[in-house]
Amino acid sequence: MNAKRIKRRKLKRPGPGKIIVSVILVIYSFLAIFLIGNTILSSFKTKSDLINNTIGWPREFTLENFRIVLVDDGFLRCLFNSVFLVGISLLLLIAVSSMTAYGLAQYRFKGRAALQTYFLVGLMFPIQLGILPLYIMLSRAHLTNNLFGLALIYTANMSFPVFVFTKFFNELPIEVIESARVDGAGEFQIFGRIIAPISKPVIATVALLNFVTIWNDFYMPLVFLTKSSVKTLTLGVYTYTANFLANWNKVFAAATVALIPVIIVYLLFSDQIVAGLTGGAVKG
Amino acid sequence: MRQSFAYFCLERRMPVRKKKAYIGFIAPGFIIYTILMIVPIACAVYFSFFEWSGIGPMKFAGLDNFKKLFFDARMSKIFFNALKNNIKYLVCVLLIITPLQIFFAYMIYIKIPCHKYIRMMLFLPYVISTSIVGFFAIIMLDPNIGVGNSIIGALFGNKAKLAWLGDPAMVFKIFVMVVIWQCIGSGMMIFYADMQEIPSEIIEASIIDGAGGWTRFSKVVFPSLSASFSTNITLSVIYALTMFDIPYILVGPQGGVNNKIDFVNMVFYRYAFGGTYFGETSIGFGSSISVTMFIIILTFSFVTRKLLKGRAGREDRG
Amino acid sequence: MKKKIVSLLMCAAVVSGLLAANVQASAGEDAAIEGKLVIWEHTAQFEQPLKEVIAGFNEKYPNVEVEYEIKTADQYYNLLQTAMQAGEAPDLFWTNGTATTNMEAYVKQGRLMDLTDKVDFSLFDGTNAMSLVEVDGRVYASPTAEVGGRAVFYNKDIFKELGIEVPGTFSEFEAALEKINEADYLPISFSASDPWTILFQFEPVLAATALDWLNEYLDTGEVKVNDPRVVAAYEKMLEWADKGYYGPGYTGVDGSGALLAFSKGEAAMCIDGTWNIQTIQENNPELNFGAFQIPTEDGTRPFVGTSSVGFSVSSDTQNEEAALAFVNYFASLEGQTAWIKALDSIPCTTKIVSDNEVINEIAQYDVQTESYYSILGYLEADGESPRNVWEEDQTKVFSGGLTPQEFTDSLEALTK
Repeated sequence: MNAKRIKRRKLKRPGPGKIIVSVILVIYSFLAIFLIGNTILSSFKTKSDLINNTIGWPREFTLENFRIVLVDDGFLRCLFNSVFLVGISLLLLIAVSSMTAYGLAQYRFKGRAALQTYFLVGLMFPIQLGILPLYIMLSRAHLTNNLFGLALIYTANMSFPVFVFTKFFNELPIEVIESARVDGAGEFQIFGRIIAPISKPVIATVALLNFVTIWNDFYMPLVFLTKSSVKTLTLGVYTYTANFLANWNKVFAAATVALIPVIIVYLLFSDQIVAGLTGGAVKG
Repeated sequence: MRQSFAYFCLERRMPVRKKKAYIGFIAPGFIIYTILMIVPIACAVYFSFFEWSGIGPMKFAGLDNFKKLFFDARMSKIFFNALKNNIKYLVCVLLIITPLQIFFAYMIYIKIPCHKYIRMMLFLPYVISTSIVGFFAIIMLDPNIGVGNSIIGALFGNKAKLAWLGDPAMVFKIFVMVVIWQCIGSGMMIFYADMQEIPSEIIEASIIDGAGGWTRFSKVVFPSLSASFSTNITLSVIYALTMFDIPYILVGPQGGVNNKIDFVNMVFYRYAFGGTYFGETSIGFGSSISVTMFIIILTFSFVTRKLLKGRAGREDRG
Repeated sequence: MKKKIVSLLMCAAVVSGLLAANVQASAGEDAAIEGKLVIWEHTAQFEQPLKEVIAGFNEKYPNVEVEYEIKTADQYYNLLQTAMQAGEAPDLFWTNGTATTNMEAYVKQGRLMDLTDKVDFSLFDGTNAMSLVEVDGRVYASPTAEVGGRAVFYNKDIFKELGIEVPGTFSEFEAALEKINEADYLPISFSASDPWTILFQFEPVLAATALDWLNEYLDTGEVKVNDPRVVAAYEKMLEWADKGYYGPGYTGVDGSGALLAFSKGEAAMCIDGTWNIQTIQENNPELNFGAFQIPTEDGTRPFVGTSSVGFSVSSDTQNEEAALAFVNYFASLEGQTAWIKALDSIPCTTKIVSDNEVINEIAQYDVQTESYYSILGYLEADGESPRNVWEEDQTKVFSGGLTPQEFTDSLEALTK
């Protein structure tokens, strides 16, 4: 009781040191707000406004840039493709990598440590290096220009998710699993009915981090999605940024279209990141 | 796959067999990962022994590619300069970025004013694609039209304006700052999460004991971060040695002014795929760069693992 | 008056009737060619011209479906070779011709169709465009009529405000720089962080200060690339840098940052490739700018320009007839007129007339001369290419990593 009161008092009256740090960090955060805000504001500017007023409030708001980008240049299609690609990739990636990590974390078998290292190898090579054999394999399987085919590649890039899931599953209280085993539940039942639900936070974390990676990826779509019917947002943005100066009113609108969804997803799920990494749910 | 799944479902009632279930869990991941990740890498290792542009007949070259990388007067200079930068960056990670991450995490943990907002904002840049970050860099750092020089110009006059990324003495520092701005959030969150795990009784006990802020941090909070330490260090070592995106968007593939932020992966990129218009591609030689780097990363990972284990071991004994 | 209009209308009707008949006839003829073509281009800068050419082509060949894909310059050859290796090479694709080693390598491996006698290249007669697409006397790609030149773009308003005329001699040019600098404008927005933007300024400076060196090369085919006159041209640029003509932080300016500063009206000049004219005009339609060539001391205006390459045909193409029809259209006056107009660039032949004022200003030069980068290519020995070393090290001359002498010496060491 006593201790609790002390703690609360401490929290209620922050010392000067804390306030200084807080003020500095809040000021620092204005940098991100400025940069993102300026991008969004610029997307509403006319071309001549952009030239004379690159940084600042638009003199007149126009939706023309968005109309050109979304309607004339087919960004809606790109938006749909990106959403679809991210969706199936995350589904596959999380299902496969969480199972793999569970196997690596919860079972003791010969070669386990080696296998854990094996799954880390993917982080140590530049992905561009393997592109030639990868392309040949996918084109033989008729999976180029196919969102599902690319989703398979993203799934194979599972080193980081397996790493995070393994860390999480290592910490799982063994009693929960043991008691389920005593109750006669099968291993896959245990995983599906007990482990998956308590892993929600870590799943959310992995999903969010990979959402960001896949959503922003440029290189893989460039190689594997060449037809305009399967173009993703990053490829769409590139057609403007490649000649950035000539298209710069469109660049801002396109960047805004690509930026807003990922920021919204982040704001909605940012609390989940911490929860997922703490594994607080496991205890609860 | 389906067969093995059914097999384990059937066998689930037999307790002895249960242990084999790991095969069913790992197999799908193992197969996809091996085919689409390891096989391409293995091909690259194979290519590294050939003189090959990426097309046409391959000429077996033995270790010539590696010899060129290490001993060619010109090439070895480029390679070791890049490797030096990778290691310099790794040192920055360990001495600056990781401590900052712990500091920010601790500030949020002790709930400084606006901590929720600060937590959100520190992580936010991480979700922005690097190509947009590259554009932000122009807005801020371009010597002619950037915000940085406008401010300096207004305060101290035109003569005080800086070259920013064009200044050999500044470019590495700016690069580290951009990394901090964009990427500090992820590691910070891992530390913060670990701090959350510290049982509140321990903290309360330390308060009763009258431990001050610093003592509490160094005696109670810091020691309990070993799990996130090993996670963060393992990942940081790998990221530091495969650094590519941020220097590339800041200065392009040439490695910046006097190659001050040239990294091994950028050397690989230049030599494997050729320059922007000078298109001499050399997949064989490029592969040898990556294979060399792979061995270096494995060595570093192994050493850090040993060191972290040693640390943990001492703590156990203590 | 009324009568006149009526007769005009009648005339128009007759003409359009004729035209319609004509189009039908030609469509009838060419509808026989059908199928699908895939074209690869290496950067989005050429997307619009390519679109225009395809549109014109489809009017003639309505039954050929043409699809194009834009790659990135950095990765282009890697992507192309990956596709070739997988047996999925596009029907038509860009290469940089003999300017780089790639096209020759593809020719040796039989990946490219020999276009000699299959395509009518008469549009390029009397130009040196064909030299870029020939290997051992056989043609493996269509050139374009575009001459990629270098020019000084200048802000007419700033020049007028300071009372500066377009310079007639090199010292007048330097005097103008000094005057602009004193007036606290940025004389030249320059990016020394990228080897290519350096080249596009260095070559005109070299041509203005050492035209005799370039002529020596054109006459004898033999020069030293580390000649004192070459070194002096670099020293001249460094001198300008020291005087502040490039602004305080020019080593940190990004290529598009340099153009942006000019198109925002913050710099009096920008020395860069002529293919940027359209970009500047689109970026700021209100900018009042013109172009000139840096003159030599005796008033000669030299022009450094290089030809450029269009498309090669893959020898694996499933649709040879349509592919050849496309190249033929691309190399025709009609195709190249569409290409040049959409690109707003300088044509290599007087048969194509631009309606862009800035381009016509650039076309007022006295002699066309050779590019330093091209000379490095012509003189290169076996082994490592000096062009590769050039691309690696060029920026160091301005950031203090190498002196001009050291830099050109290292290039000379790799030539014949």
